[in-house]
Amino acid sequence: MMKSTEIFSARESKEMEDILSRYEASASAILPLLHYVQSIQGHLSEEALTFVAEFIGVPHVRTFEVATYYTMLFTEPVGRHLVQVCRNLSCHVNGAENVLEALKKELGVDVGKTSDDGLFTLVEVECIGACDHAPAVMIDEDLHRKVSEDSVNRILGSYREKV
Amino acid sequence: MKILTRNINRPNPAHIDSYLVNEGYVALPRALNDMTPEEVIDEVRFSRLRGRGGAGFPAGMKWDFASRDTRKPKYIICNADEGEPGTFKDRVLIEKDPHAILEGMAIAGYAVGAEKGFIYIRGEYPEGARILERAIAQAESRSFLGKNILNSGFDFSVTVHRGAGAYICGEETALIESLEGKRGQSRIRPPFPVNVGYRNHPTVVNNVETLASVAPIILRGGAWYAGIGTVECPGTKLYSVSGHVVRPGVYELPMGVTLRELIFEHAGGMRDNRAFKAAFPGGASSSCLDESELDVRLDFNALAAAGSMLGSGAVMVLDDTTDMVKATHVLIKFFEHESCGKCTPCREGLFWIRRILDSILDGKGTEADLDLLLDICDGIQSTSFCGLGEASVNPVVSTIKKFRHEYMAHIGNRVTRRTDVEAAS
Ligand SMILES: Cc1cc2nc3c(=O)[nH]c(=O)nc-3n(C[C@H](O)[C@H](O)[C@H](O)COP(=O)(O)O)c2cc1C
Ligand code: SF4
Ligand code: FES
Repeated sequence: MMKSTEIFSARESKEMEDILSRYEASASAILPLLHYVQSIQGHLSEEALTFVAEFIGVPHVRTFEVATYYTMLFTEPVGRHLVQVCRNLSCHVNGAENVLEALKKELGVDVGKTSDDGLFTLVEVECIGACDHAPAVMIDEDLHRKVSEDSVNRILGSYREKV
Repeated sequence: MKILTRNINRPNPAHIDSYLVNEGYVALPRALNDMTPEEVIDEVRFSRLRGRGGAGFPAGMKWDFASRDTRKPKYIICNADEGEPGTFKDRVLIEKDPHAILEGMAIAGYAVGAEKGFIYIRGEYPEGARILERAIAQAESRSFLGKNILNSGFDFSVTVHRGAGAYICGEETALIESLEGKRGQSRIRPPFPVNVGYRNHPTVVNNVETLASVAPIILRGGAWYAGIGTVECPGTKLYSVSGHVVRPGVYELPMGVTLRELIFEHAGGMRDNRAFKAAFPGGASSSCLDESELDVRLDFNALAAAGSMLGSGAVMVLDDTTDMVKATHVLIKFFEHESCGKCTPCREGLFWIRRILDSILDGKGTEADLDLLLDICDGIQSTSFCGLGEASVNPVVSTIKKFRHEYMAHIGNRVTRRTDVEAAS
């Protein structure tokens, strides 16, 4: 087995031990550990999935089947920022389609694709529980409420500056 | 009447000190010191509190089932997956009153004999997860959670578990599978989680709002709570109102408010003075109501009698600019995406419904397609393995019934598909 210190820093390994220790049933730690690894590495590589399975002590298939089931887990690299546009009804009737079109144009990509500079991946998502501020867009972990075609530029700009 | 939302407008509402100001953590010691677990369950039973996650199952009865199963350990799971489109009321409780949820969970644990709780929160609520974790640490530091709570000898700890974007994980058995580190797919019921739940042990799964209602019930008594709302659906309800209204938001009102009152007296009426066309009163899974049904009461029984459902109380309001076929298409795309794929009617049927709606919206539909749609809906509804498939067809069936003319406007008077006609000419 690979040692965690070969892939992760000492602090990260310690965090993973902490996550595992929260559960009596170690398999319950699969999802939290995958969340954590993805938050560090951006996506879940085959190597990472194998590592997490061995770290927990479950067959490899257990981490692979989980990683491929959930919408928020990525087995392929994505852009540095994930732009998630709600497409469900309350956002739809408040102009979500226009917001999506503006984002496509601004980023020069279709849904599911990553901008050429590697900064943004554009995806559509289902209701994110912000229907009272529709249309809603989530970028990484930040919720943007009442987004309009005109505010798209400014919002993306604030992420470009973060680089 | 503010019961569930009593704390949300305080400064720094999520902090334990804000919660303690208003009788926070008074119900828990009362239950632990002055009441037996049976008495706690009886009080919840007297309140006739019904689960707020969608099905409206009596909470006291659920706790009673779990308490009678003597196998240990037992678990309390707070269902914070909040995935039903149009629903955002649990988010308010999580972000603004997390201690009300934790206190309810600890009381539930004492009542049924569980020492461990999980909050399964949807992955899209990272801020909510952090707020809950901070709240748990605060509660532990004051001995409202953890070992030997307030020297009562009762242990109860809570772990926050984040989902990862799967609506089906809100269904209680799929949630449990997901919590066990598997793909979240529904289990067959019975056996129910109260007997065979997390790690095959007795498990109470309750919605956020249900659990947040518990401490006030223990404090003021079941009879007090039962006197609010309607006889069959007591208490207050958090309605999430969105769509074409002036003031979308969460409204706490006695159960049984009418759709008209909710929209026009609370949510500010229709936006831009447009006319009301329709509402989905229980999110994407419910049948729509039209203008003639504005006086229907928004509670479990009245909505069921009207052929719809309250579900999580997600009221999506649509004005006369809305294309009901497009609205239905949006909702069906949602279900198609969220179908877990385990059973054929839901997995394949939703794909075909979406394809037919695509073609109708493309101007290639026929009137016969409407019969075909209803036929497929019937198949899905009667043979799906779980509630997702069963409810997914409600928007289709109800919009065809109530807004058939809108489908016909897309279809025109074609009897055969445009593609067939083109091929023949
Ligand atoms: C497809 C589907 C999705 C569901 N999603 C949720 C949800 O997000 N939150 C919730 O509390 N209940 C949800 N439920 C209902 C749960 O299965 C369960 O009935 C509920 O959590 C029980 O809690 P309660 O008795 O307090 O309502 C869902 C049910 C189905 C069929
Ligand atoms: S009805 Fe749909 S969601 Fe439920 S088990 Fe079948 S495929 Fe999965
Ligand atoms: S429909 Fe977009 S956040 Fe709910």
